[in-house]
Amino acid sequence: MSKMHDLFSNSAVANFGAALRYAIGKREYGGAEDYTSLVELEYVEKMDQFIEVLKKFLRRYDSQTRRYERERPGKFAFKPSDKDLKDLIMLAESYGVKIVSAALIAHALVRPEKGE
Amino acid sequence: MEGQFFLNKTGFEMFDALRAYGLAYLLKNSDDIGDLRIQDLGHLYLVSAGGKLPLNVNPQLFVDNDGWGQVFQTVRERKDAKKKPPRKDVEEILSAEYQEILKTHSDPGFHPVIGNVMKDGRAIYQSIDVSAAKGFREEKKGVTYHEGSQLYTDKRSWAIACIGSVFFNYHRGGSDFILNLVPNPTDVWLMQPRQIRDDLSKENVCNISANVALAHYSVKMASVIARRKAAPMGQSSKYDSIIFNVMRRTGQQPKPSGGGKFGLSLMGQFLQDPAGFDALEKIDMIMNNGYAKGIKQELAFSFAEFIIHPSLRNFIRCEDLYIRARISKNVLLWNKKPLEVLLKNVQDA
Repeated sequence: MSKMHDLFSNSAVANFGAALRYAIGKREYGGAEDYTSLVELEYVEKMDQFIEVLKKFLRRYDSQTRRYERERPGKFAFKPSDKDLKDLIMLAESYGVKIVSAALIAHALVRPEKGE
Repeated sequence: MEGQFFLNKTGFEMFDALRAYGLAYLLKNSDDIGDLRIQDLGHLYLVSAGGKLPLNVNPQLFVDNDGWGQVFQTVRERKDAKKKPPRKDVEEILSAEYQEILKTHSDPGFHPVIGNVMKDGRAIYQSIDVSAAKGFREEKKGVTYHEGSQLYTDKRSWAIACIGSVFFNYHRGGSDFILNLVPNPTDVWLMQPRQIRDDLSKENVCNISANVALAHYSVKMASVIARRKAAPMGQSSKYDSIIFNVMRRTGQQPKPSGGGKFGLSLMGQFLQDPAGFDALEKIDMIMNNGYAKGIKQELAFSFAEFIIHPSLRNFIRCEDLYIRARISKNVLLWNKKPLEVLLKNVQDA
Protein backbone atom coordinates (compact mmCIF):
# COMPACT_ATOMS: atom_id res chain seq x y z
CA MET A 1 0.00 0.00 0.00
CA SER A 2 1.36 3.44 -0.87
CA LYS A 3 1.80 6.35 1.53
CA MET A 4 -0.63 8.28 -0.62
CA HIS A 5 -3.35 5.72 0.00
CA ASP A 6 -2.60 5.60 3.74
CA LEU A 7 -3.05 9.35 3.93
CA PHE A 8 -6.15 9.31 1.75
CA SER A 9 -7.77 6.81 4.13
CA ASN A 10 -6.97 8.89 7.21
CA SER A 11 -10.06 10.50 8.74
CA ALA A 12 -8.39 13.88 9.39
CA VAL A 13 -7.32 14.10 5.74
CA ALA A 14 -10.77 12.94 4.62
CA ASN A 15 -12.50 15.62 6.71
CA PHE A 16 -10.23 18.45 5.60
CA GLY A 17 -10.42 17.16 2.01
CA ALA A 18 -14.21 17.25 2.17
CA ALA A 19 -14.04 20.82 3.50
CA LEU A 20 -11.76 21.75 0.61
CA ARG A 21 -14.18 20.17 -1.86
CA TYR A 22 -17.05 22.30 -0.51
CA ALA A 23 -14.83 25.37 -0.46
CA ILE A 24 -13.98 25.14 -4.14
CA GLY A 25 -17.54 24.23 -5.15
CA LYS A 26 -19.68 26.56 -7.24
CA ARG A 27 -21.61 29.27 -5.41
CA GLU A 28 -24.95 28.09 -6.78
CA TYR A 29 -24.39 24.74 -5.04
CA GLY A 30 -23.42 26.28 -1.71
CA GLY A 31 -19.67 26.42 -2.43
CA ALA A 32 -17.40 29.44 -2.11
CA GLU A 33 -15.26 29.12 -5.26
CA ASP A 34 -12.24 29.45 -2.98
CA TYR A 35 -9.59 28.69 -5.61
CA THR A 36 -6.99 30.71 -3.70
CA SER A 37 -6.77 28.06 -1.00
CA LEU A 38 -6.46 25.38 -3.66
CA VAL A 39 -3.58 27.11 -5.43
CA GLU A 40 -1.85 27.91 -2.14
CA LEU A 41 -2.13 24.29 -1.08
CA GLU A 42 -0.70 23.09 -4.40
CA TYR A 43 2.40 25.22 -4.07
CA VAL A 44 3.14 24.62 -0.40
CA GLU A 45 6.69 23.32 0.20
CA LYS A 46 7.53 23.77 3.89
CA MET A 47 5.84 23.14 7.21
CA ASP A 48 5.49 26.81 8.19
CA GLN A 49 3.91 27.55 4.77
CA PHE A 50 1.53 24.63 5.27
CA ILE A 51 0.40 25.93 8.65
CA GLU A 52 -0.07 29.42 7.21
CA VAL A 53 -2.09 28.06 4.27
CA LEU A 54 -4.29 26.00 6.62
CA LYS A 55 -4.86 29.04 8.81
CA LYS A 56 -5.97 31.14 5.84
CA PHE A 57 -8.10 28.31 4.50
CA LEU A 58 -9.89 27.82 7.82
CA ARG A 59 -10.57 31.54 8.08
CA ARG A 60 -12.12 31.60 4.62
CA TYR A 61 -13.96 28.35 5.23
CA ASP A 62 -15.38 29.67 8.47
CA SER A 63 -16.90 32.69 6.76
CA GLN A 64 -18.25 30.41 4.04
CA THR A 65 -19.96 28.08 6.52
CA ARG A 66 -21.46 31.03 8.38
CA ARG A 67 -22.90 32.36 5.15
CA TYR A 68 -24.20 28.91 4.22
CA GLU A 69 -25.97 28.50 7.55
CA ARG A 70 -27.37 32.05 7.40
CA GLU A 71 -28.76 31.53 3.91
CA ARG A 72 -30.15 28.08 4.69
CA PRO A 73 -31.73 28.27 8.15
CA GLY A 74 -31.87 24.94 9.91
CA LYS A 75 -28.97 23.46 7.92
CA PHE A 76 -25.50 22.98 9.34
CA ALA A 77 -22.33 23.17 7.29
CA PHE A 78 -19.67 20.52 7.65
CA LYS A 79 -16.61 21.57 9.69
CA PRO A 80 -13.46 19.62 10.49
CA SER A 81 -12.79 19.28 14.21
CA ASP A 82 -9.85 20.53 16.28
CA LYS A 83 -8.66 16.93 16.55
CA ASP A 84 -8.62 16.70 12.74
CA LEU A 85 -6.46 19.80 12.63
CA LYS A 86 -3.99 18.40 15.18
CA ASP A 87 -3.85 15.04 13.38
CA LEU A 88 -3.32 16.75 10.04
CA ILE A 89 -0.36 18.73 11.38
CA MET A 90 1.11 15.54 12.85
CA LEU A 91 0.70 13.76 9.53
CA ALA A 92 2.39 16.63 7.69
CA GLU A 93 5.31 16.42 10.14
CA SER A 94 5.75 12.70 9.67
CA TYR A 95 4.93 12.26 5.94
CA GLY A 96 5.87 15.68 4.56
CA VAL A 97 3.68 18.58 3.49
CA LYS A 98 3.75 17.87 -0.25
CA ILE A 99 2.16 14.43 -0.03
CA VAL A 100 -0.38 15.52 2.62
CA SER A 101 -1.43 18.43 0.40
CA ALA A 102 -1.77 16.03 -2.54
CA ALA A 103 -3.97 13.70 -0.45
CA LEU A 104 -6.17 16.64 0.61
CA ILE A 105 -6.61 17.74 -3.00
CA ALA A 106 -7.37 14.13 -4.00
CA HIS A 107 -10.38 14.23 -1.67
CA ALA A 108 -11.57 17.32 -3.46
CA LEU A 109 -11.76 15.21 -6.65
CA VAL A 110 -14.15 12.71 -5.10
CA ARG A 111 -17.88 12.77 -5.73
CA PRO A 112 -19.67 13.29 -2.36
CA GLU A 113 -21.32 10.14 -1.13
CA LYS A 114 -25.02 10.07 -0.29
CA GLY A 115 -25.77 11.84 2.95
CA GLU A 116 -22.56 13.89 2.89
CA MET B 1 1.51 -35.99 -33.70
CA GLU B 2 2.08 -33.36 -31.06
CA GLY B 3 4.87 -30.88 -31.39
CA GLN B 4 7.08 -28.56 -29.45
CA PHE B 5 8.93 -25.79 -31.23
CA PHE B 6 11.75 -23.70 -29.82
CA LEU B 7 12.32 -20.10 -30.80
CA ASN B 8 15.57 -19.00 -29.24
CA LYS B 9 15.71 -15.29 -28.54
CA THR B 10 18.09 -13.10 -30.47
CA GLY B 11 17.81 -9.92 -28.39
CA PHE B 12 15.57 -8.23 -30.96
CA GLU B 13 12.51 -8.37 -28.75
CA MET B 14 9.77 -7.69 -31.24
CA PHE B 15 11.36 -9.92 -33.89
CA ASP B 16 11.53 -12.76 -31.33
CA ALA B 17 7.92 -12.41 -30.18
CA LEU B 18 6.64 -12.13 -33.77
CA ARG B 19 8.50 -15.31 -34.74
CA ALA B 20 6.75 -17.13 -31.89
CA TYR B 21 3.34 -15.80 -32.87
CA GLY B 22 4.06 -16.41 -36.56
CA LEU B 23 5.13 -20.03 -36.15
CA ALA B 24 2.15 -20.80 -33.92
CA TYR B 25 -0.20 -19.17 -36.43
CA LEU B 26 1.28 -21.21 -39.28
CA LEU B 27 0.24 -24.35 -37.42
CA LYS B 28 -3.31 -23.09 -37.07
CA ASN B 29 -4.21 -24.50 -40.41
CA SER B 30 -6.41 -27.50 -39.84
CA ASP B 31 -9.25 -28.48 -37.56
CA ASP B 32 -7.16 -31.41 -36.35
CA ILE B 33 -4.75 -29.15 -34.58
CA GLY B 34 -5.44 -28.89 -30.86
CA ASP B 35 -4.58 -26.07 -28.51
CA LEU B 36 -1.63 -23.93 -29.45
CA ARG B 37 0.27 -22.45 -26.56
CA ILE B 38 3.14 -19.97 -26.49
CA GLN B 39 5.29 -19.64 -23.37
CA ASP B 40 8.12 -17.24 -22.65
CA LEU B 41 10.80 -19.31 -20.94
CA GLY B 42 13.30 -16.48 -20.64
CA HIS B 43 15.88 -17.46 -23.22
CA LEU B 44 13.34 -18.83 -25.72
CA TYR B 45 9.68 -18.96 -26.64
CA LEU B 46 8.18 -22.43 -26.56
CA VAL B 47 5.31 -23.18 -28.93
CA SER B 48 3.37 -26.30 -27.97
CA ALA B 49 0.85 -27.79 -30.36
CA GLY B 50 -1.63 -30.50 -29.46
CA GLY B 51 -3.32 -32.74 -32.04
CA LYS B 52 -2.25 -33.39 -35.59
CA LEU B 53 0.09 -30.90 -37.22
CA PRO B 54 -0.97 -29.62 -40.66
CA LEU B 55 1.06 -30.89 -43.58
CA ASN B 56 1.20 -27.65 -45.50
CA VAL B 57 0.63 -23.91 -45.27
CA ASN B 58 -2.85 -22.45 -45.36
CA PRO B 59 -3.10 -20.33 -48.57
CA GLN B 60 -5.63 -18.11 -46.77
CA LEU B 61 -2.71 -16.61 -44.85
CA PHE B 62 -1.64 -14.74 -47.94
CA VAL B 63 -5.00 -13.21 -48.77
CA ASP B 64 -4.88 -9.43 -48.88
CA ASN B 65 -5.45 -7.68 -45.56
CA ASP B 66 -4.32 -4.46 -43.85
CA GLY B 67 -1.59 -6.26 -41.94
CA TRP B 68 0.46 -6.98 -45.07
CA GLY B 69 0.55 -3.33 -46.01
CA GLN B 70 1.71 -2.42 -42.52
CA VAL B 71 4.58 -4.91 -42.47
CA PHE B 72 5.99 -3.74 -45.77
CA GLN B 73 5.25 -0.04 -45.38
CA THR B 74 8.96 0.83 -45.45
CA VAL B 75 9.54 -1.10 -48.66
CA ARG B 76 9.43 0.92 -51.84
CA GLU B 77 8.36 -1.21 -54.73
CA ARG B 78 10.09 -0.35 -57.96
CA LYS B 79 8.86 -1.42 -61.36
CA ASP B 80 12.37 -2.35 -62.48
CA ALA B 81 13.18 -4.23 -59.26
CA LYS B 82 14.91 -7.55 -59.75
CA LYS B 83 13.74 -8.87 -56.43
CA LYS B 84 10.22 -10.24 -56.10
CA PRO B 85 7.74 -8.34 -53.93
CA PRO B 86 8.24 -9.27 -50.26
CA ARG B 87 4.74 -10.60 -49.79
CA LYS B 88 5.20 -13.01 -52.70
CA ASP B 89 8.57 -13.90 -51.23
CA VAL B 90 7.01 -14.82 -47.85
CA GLU B 91 4.43 -16.97 -49.59
CA GLU B 92 7.04 -18.82 -51.65
CA ILE B 93 9.37 -19.39 -48.69
CA LEU B 94 6.61 -20.71 -46.45
CA SER B 95 5.05 -22.87 -49.15
CA ALA B 96 8.35 -24.42 -50.24
CA GLU B 97 10.03 -24.76 -46.86
CA TYR B 98 7.18 -25.35 -44.43
CA GLN B 99 8.35 -28.80 -43.32
CA GLU B 100 11.93 -27.59 -43.08
CA ILE B 101 10.80 -24.66 -40.89
CA LEU B 102 9.04 -27.04 -38.50
CA LYS B 103 12.05 -29.33 -38.46
CA THR B 104 14.58 -26.60 -37.69
CA HIS B 105 12.40 -25.16 -34.93
CA SER B 106 11.97 -28.60 -33.35
CA ASP B 107 15.67 -28.43 -32.56
CA PRO B 108 16.27 -26.49 -29.30
CA GLY B 109 19.71 -25.54 -30.58
CA PHE B 110 18.47 -23.59 -33.61
CA HIS B 111 19.29 -19.87 -33.51
CA PRO B 112 18.31 -17.48 -36.30
CA VAL B 113 21.30 -16.19 -38.20
CA ILE B 114 21.59 -12.39 -38.09
CA GLY B 115 24.22 -10.26 -39.76
CA ASN B 116 25.08 -7.27 -41.93
CA VAL B 117 25.88 -9.37 -44.96
CA MET B 118 24.12 -12.62 -45.62
CA LYS B 119 23.71 -14.84 -48.62
CA ASP B 120 20.02 -15.37 -49.33
CA GLY B 121 19.10 -13.41 -46.19
CA ARG B 122 16.20 -10.99 -45.84
CA ALA B 123 16.14 -7.52 -44.29
CA ILE B 124 14.51 -7.19 -40.87
CA TYR B 125 12.13 -4.33 -41.57
CA GLN B 126 11.38 -1.60 -39.05
CA SER B 127 7.88 -2.98 -38.71
CA ILE B 128 9.37 -6.27 -37.53
CA ASP B 129 12.00 -4.75 -35.25
CA VAL B 130 12.98 -1.13 -35.31
CA SER B 131 16.38 -1.78 -33.68
CA ALA B 132 17.49 -3.80 -36.69
CA ALA B 133 16.87 -0.89 -39.04
CA LYS B 134 19.44 1.25 -40.78
CA GLY B 135 20.92 4.10 -38.80
CA PHE B 136 19.65 2.92 -35.45
CA ARG B 137 22.59 1.17 -33.86
CA GLU B 138 25.60 2.98 -35.25
CA GLU B 139 26.97 6.29 -34.12
CA LYS B 140 27.19 8.85 -36.90
CA LYS B 141 30.49 10.68 -36.76
CA GLY B 142 31.63 13.70 -38.74
CA VAL B 143 29.90 15.28 -41.68
CA THR B 144 30.11 12.38 -44.11
CA TYR B 145 26.71 10.96 -44.90
CA HIS B 146 26.34 7.36 -43.87
CA GLU B 147 23.01 5.61 -43.73
CA GLY B 148 24.12 2.89 -41.35
CA SER B 149 23.86 -0.77 -42.10
CA GLN B 150 20.75 -2.89 -42.32
CA LEU B 151 20.54 -6.21 -40.51
CA TYR B 152 19.51 -9.37 -42.31
CA THR B 153 18.29 -12.70 -41.06
CA ASP B 154 17.78 -16.15 -42.54
CA LYS B 155 14.76 -16.30 -44.78
CA ARG B 156 12.81 -18.85 -42.73
CA SER B 157 12.95 -16.81 -39.53
CA TRP B 158 12.10 -13.71 -41.56
CA ALA B 159 9.06 -15.32 -43.15
CA ILE B 160 7.52 -16.48 -39.88
CA ALA B 161 8.23 -13.08 -38.29
CA CYS B 162 6.33 -11.48 -41.20
CA ILE B 163 3.34 -13.75 -40.52
CA GLY B 164 3.51 -12.82 -36.83
CA SER B 165 3.59 -9.14 -37.71
CA VAL B 166 0.66 -9.37 -40.16
CA PHE B 167 -1.63 -11.19 -37.76
CA PHE B 168 -0.55 -10.07 -34.30
CA ASN B 169 1.05 -6.65 -34.53
CA TYR B 170 -1.15 -3.69 -33.65
CA HIS B 171 -0.31 -0.55 -35.60
CA ARG B 172 -1.32 2.95 -34.63
CA GLY B 173 -0.22 5.97 -36.57
CA GLY B 174 -0.21 9.58 -35.41
CA SER B 175 0.60 12.81 -37.20
CA ASP B 176 4.34 12.26 -36.83
CA PHE B 177 4.80 8.68 -35.61
CA ILE B 178 3.84 5.09 -36.24
CA LEU B 179 3.62 2.79 -33.26
CA ASN B 180 3.83 -0.99 -33.51
CA LEU B 181 2.72 -2.98 -30.48
CA VAL B 182 2.59 -6.62 -29.61
CA PRO B 183 1.88 -8.13 -26.18
CA ASN B 184 4.73 -10.32 -24.94
CA PRO B 185 3.30 -13.86 -24.75
CA THR B 186 4.28 -14.89 -21.21
CA ASP B 187 1.89 -17.83 -21.33
CA VAL B 188 -0.85 -17.57 -23.93
CA TRP B 189 -3.24 -19.70 -25.91
CA LEU B 190 -2.86 -18.64 -29.49
CA MET B 191 -6.29 -17.38 -30.42
CA GLN B 192 -6.63 -15.15 -27.36
CA PRO B 193 -4.07 -12.54 -28.47
CA ARG B 194 -5.80 -12.55 -31.87
CA GLN B 195 -9.16 -11.95 -30.22
CA ILE B 196 -7.65 -9.19 -28.11
CA ARG B 197 -6.20 -7.58 -31.22
CA ASP B 198 -9.56 -7.84 -32.98
CA ASP B 199 -11.31 -6.31 -29.96
CA LEU B 200 -8.77 -3.50 -29.82
CA SER B 201 -9.01 -2.80 -33.53
CA LYS B 202 -12.64 -1.76 -32.93
CA GLU B 203 -11.55 0.63 -30.20
CA ASN B 204 -10.01 4.03 -30.72
CA VAL B 205 -6.56 4.40 -29.23
CA CYS B 206 -5.76 8.08 -28.73
CA ASN B 207 -2.88 8.98 -31.03
CA ILE B 208 -1.93 12.50 -29.99
CA SER B 209 1.55 11.21 -29.13
CA ALA B 210 3.37 7.89 -29.07
CA ASN B 211 3.42 7.90 -25.23
CA VAL B 212 -0.31 8.51 -25.00
CA ALA B 213 -0.99 5.81 -27.62
CA LEU B 214 1.16 3.31 -25.71
CA ALA B 215 -0.43 4.10 -22.34
CA HIS B 216 -3.94 4.11 -23.81
CA TYR B 217 -3.30 0.80 -25.57
CA SER B 218 -2.20 -0.77 -22.26
CA VAL B 219 -5.33 0.54 -20.53
CA LYS B 220 -7.58 -0.74 -23.32
CA MET B 221 -5.80 -4.08 -23.37
CA ALA B 222 -6.24 -4.50 -19.60
CA SER B 223 -9.94 -3.60 -19.95
CA VAL B 224 -10.42 -6.08 -22.79
CA ILE B 225 -8.68 -8.84 -20.81
CA ALA B 226 -10.78 -8.02 -17.73
CA ARG B 227 -13.96 -8.16 -19.80
CA ARG B 228 -12.92 -11.46 -21.37
CA LYS B 229 -12.07 -12.93 -17.98
CA ALA B 230 -15.54 -12.00 -16.80
CA ALA B 231 -16.93 -14.02 -19.69
CA PRO B 232 -16.60 -17.79 -19.36
CA MET B 233 -13.41 -18.90 -21.06
CA GLY B 234 -11.62 -22.18 -20.48
CA GLN B 235 -8.07 -20.95 -20.39
CA SER B 236 -6.71 -17.55 -19.60
CA SER B 237 -3.57 -16.02 -21.01
CA LYS B 238 -0.83 -14.10 -19.26
CA TYR B 239 1.10 -11.13 -20.60
CA ASP B 240 3.83 -9.38 -18.66
CA SER B 241 4.60 -6.53 -21.02
CA ILE B 242 3.91 -4.87 -24.33
CA ILE B 243 6.74 -4.76 -26.83
CA PHE B 244 6.63 -1.47 -28.70
CA ASN B 245 8.48 0.07 -31.61
CA VAL B 246 8.16 3.68 -32.68
CA MET B 247 8.90 5.01 -36.16
CA ARG B 248 8.93 8.68 -37.11
CA ARG B 249 7.16 9.87 -40.20
CA THR B 250 9.34 11.88 -42.55
CA GLY B 251 8.86 13.23 -46.05
CA GLN B 252 10.14 9.88 -47.31
CA GLN B 253 10.11 6.49 -45.64
CA PRO B 254 9.48 6.28 -41.88
CA LYS B 255 12.66 6.40 -39.82
CA PRO B 256 13.42 4.40 -36.65
CA SER B 257 12.75 6.28 -33.44
CA GLY B 258 12.84 3.91 -30.47
CA GLY B 259 11.34 0.94 -28.78
CA GLY B 260 11.32 -1.28 -25.74
CA LYS B 261 9.15 -3.23 -23.37
CA PHE B 262 6.40 -1.56 -21.40
CA GLY B 263 5.60 -3.53 -18.24
CA LEU B 264 1.98 -4.37 -17.46
CA SER B 265 2.44 -4.76 -13.70
CA LEU B 266 0.51 -1.54 -12.99
CA MET B 267 -2.41 -2.77 -15.06
CA GLY B 268 -2.20 -6.11 -13.22
CA GLN B 269 -2.37 -4.27 -9.89
CA PHE B 270 -5.43 -2.37 -11.07
CA LEU B 271 -7.23 -5.53 -12.07
CA GLN B 272 -6.57 -7.23 -8.74
CA ASP B 273 -8.92 -4.76 -7.13
CA PRO B 274 -12.69 -5.00 -7.71
CA ALA B 275 -12.84 -1.25 -8.42
CA GLY B 276 -9.79 -1.37 -10.68
CA PHE B 277 -11.85 -1.91 -13.80
CA ASP B 278 -13.80 1.29 -13.07
CA ALA B 279 -10.51 3.15 -12.60
CA LEU B 280 -9.35 1.88 -16.01
CA GLU B 281 -12.63 2.94 -17.59
CA LYS B 282 -12.19 6.42 -16.14
CA ILE B 283 -8.63 6.72 -17.45
CA ASP B 284 -9.82 5.36 -20.80
CA MET B 285 -12.44 8.12 -20.93
CA ILE B 286 -9.83 10.77 -20.10
CA MET B 287 -7.64 9.54 -22.95
CA ASN B 288 -10.55 9.28 -25.37
CA ASN B 289 -11.12 12.98 -24.72
CA GLY B 290 -7.48 13.77 -25.47
CA TYR B 291 -8.23 14.96 -28.99
CA ALA B 292 -9.89 18.12 -27.69
CA LYS B 293 -7.20 20.76 -27.38
CA GLY B 294 -6.81 22.50 -24.04
CA ILE B 295 -7.16 21.06 -20.58
CA LYS B 296 -8.59 17.74 -21.79
CA GLN B 297 -5.55 17.13 -23.97
CA GLU B 298 -3.23 18.09 -21.13
CA LEU B 299 -5.07 15.62 -18.92
CA ALA B 300 -4.54 12.84 -21.48
CA PHE B 301 -0.81 13.65 -21.60
CA SER B 302 -0.49 13.75 -17.82
CA PHE B 303 -2.38 10.49 -17.26
CA ALA B 304 -0.24 8.80 -19.94
CA GLU B 305 2.85 9.95 -18.03
CA PHE B 306 1.34 8.56 -14.85
CA ILE B 307 0.58 5.17 -16.45
CA ILE B 308 4.13 4.97 -17.77
CA HIS B 309 5.69 6.10 -14.50
CA PRO B 310 3.24 6.18 -11.56
CA SER B 311 5.28 8.51 -9.36
CA LEU B 312 3.93 10.95 -6.78
CA ARG B 313 5.11 13.84 -8.94
CA ASN B 314 3.14 12.57 -11.95
CA PHE B 315 0.08 11.95 -9.78
CA ILE B 316 0.21 15.50 -8.40
CA ARG B 317 0.33 16.83 -11.96
CA CYS B 318 -2.72 14.72 -12.88
CA GLU B 319 -4.70 15.87 -9.87
CA ASP B 320 -3.80 19.54 -10.35
CA LEU B 321 -4.97 19.44 -13.95
CA TYR B 322 -8.04 17.39 -13.11
CA ILE B 323 -9.22 19.80 -10.46
CA ARG B 324 -8.83 22.70 -12.89
CA ALA B 325 -10.80 20.77 -15.50
CA ARG B 326 -13.42 20.09 -12.85
CA ILE B 327 -13.66 23.78 -11.91
CA SER B 328 -14.22 24.68 -15.56
CA LYS B 329 -16.83 21.87 -15.63
CA ASN B 330 -15.02 19.87 -18.27
CA VAL B 331 -14.86 16.60 -16.35
CA LEU B 332 -16.86 14.65 -13.80
CA LEU B 333 -15.68 13.93 -10.27
CA TRP B 334 -14.18 10.53 -9.44
CA ASN B 335 -15.99 7.88 -7.47
CA LYS B 336 -14.08 7.14 -4.28
CA LYS B 337 -13.25 3.47 -4.88
CA PRO B 338 -11.62 3.83 -8.33
CA LEU B 339 -9.60 6.81 -7.09
CA GLU B 340 -8.43 4.70 -4.16
CA VAL B 341 -7.15 2.06 -6.60
CA LEU B 342 -5.18 4.76 -8.39
CA LEU B 343 -3.75 6.05 -5.10
CA LYS B 344 -2.75 2.57 -3.96
CA ASN B 345 -0.44 2.42 -6.95
CA VAL B 346 1.25 5.80 -6.57
CA GLN B 347 4.90 5.05 -5.95
CA ASP B 348 6.33 6.62 -2.82
CA ALA B 349 8.88 9.31 -3.55
